[in-house]
Amino acid sequence: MNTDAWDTAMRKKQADPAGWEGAAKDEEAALLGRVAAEEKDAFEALYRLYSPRLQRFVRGVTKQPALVEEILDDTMMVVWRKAYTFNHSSKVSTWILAIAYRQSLKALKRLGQLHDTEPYEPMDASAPGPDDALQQQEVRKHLDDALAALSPEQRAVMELTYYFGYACRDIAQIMGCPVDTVKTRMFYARRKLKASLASQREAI
Amino acid sequence: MNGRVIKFEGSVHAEADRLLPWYVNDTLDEDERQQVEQHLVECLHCQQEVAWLRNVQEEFAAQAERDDVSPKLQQLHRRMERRRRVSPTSPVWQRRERRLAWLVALQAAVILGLGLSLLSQQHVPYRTLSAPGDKGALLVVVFNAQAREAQMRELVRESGARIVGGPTAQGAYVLRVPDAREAAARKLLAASPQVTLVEDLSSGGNP
Repeated sequence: MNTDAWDTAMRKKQADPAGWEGAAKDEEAALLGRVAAEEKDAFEALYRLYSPRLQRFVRGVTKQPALVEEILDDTMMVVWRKAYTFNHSSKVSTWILAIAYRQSLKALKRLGQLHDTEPYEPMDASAPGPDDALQQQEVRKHLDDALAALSPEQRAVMELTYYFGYACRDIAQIMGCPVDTVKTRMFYARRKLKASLASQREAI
Repeated sequence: MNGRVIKFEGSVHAEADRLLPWYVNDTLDEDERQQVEQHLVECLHCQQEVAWLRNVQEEFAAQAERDDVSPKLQQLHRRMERRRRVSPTSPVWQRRERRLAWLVALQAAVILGLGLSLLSQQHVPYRTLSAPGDKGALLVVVFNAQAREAQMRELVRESGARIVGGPTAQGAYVLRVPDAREAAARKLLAASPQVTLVEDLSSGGNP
């Protein structure tokens, strides 16, 4: 599995995870400070810097393309209004993603697509494993569809881990929950993803 | 959320298994990483799980590369610009307004540049021998409206510059380049199709 392409991808990701840590943290905090001082240019710069990542994250969590722009705008409006409350105890990126996550859940709730409690899921929902080559193919072809079977919370954990490359404790901070809850959501997400990929395999 | 939380204590396998997703994205603490690697040596199930998770991560990485957000960025920018405009105007006035705005933007950049150089003169009474200091040429750069953020970032990095001002309403940035790299940076920026204008503020606005 450790192909050259994979190693290259990992090196790139570690150096610059999804373009995320490229800008220095201090610069982002300074930019947010200027937003707190109601400097519109700074807000525009922050908007440009974050909107691609927020669009991706919101789309990944909600699976509702039609909602993305509205949630992005709502998120950035909260950033504009609440920038003065940023207290440097977290990274700017996790602070903004936490807002985007809450706005995403809020929008889904308005649509009636979010339950107050996550549904109970049996522990033995794991799917039988196919061989490696088949796995790779089906992940490539069906990951998007399979992710749709997950809950928004589970999708958020997958996105933050694999698209954005965050550590478990950062994800807990973004989602406002204990680290064990993140691990539990990932546990179910993995199994549901496998089951969903397996069902697509059987359907073919 | 009120979802059930699974307690993972008690089994070495379960402990390692719950950490695999972050072993794969390489964000575990050193202790946790060692714990997972020791278990991986003897657990075929976890080895297969790592292989599967790597497939998943690889697909997310491929999506990251495929994500071309520039059309959406441009669309958003147009929306922001529309909001900024106070009233609808005639095409003639819009052209004049664009010229005026462009002049104002340039003027603002020059003032910003002068302000910055004044500030740096006032605030550097002490400098260590090894620190490079904050000197260098100031360039006003306007990127093509179609230029993507990644391309802009790459150009700024390649030219050894730092963004010290902008973007103005018309998209002009002020870059600071070390004196030694100024000519090369200006050449590189001017040659790029993503750049529509490069001007050197330090030498009185020579293009």
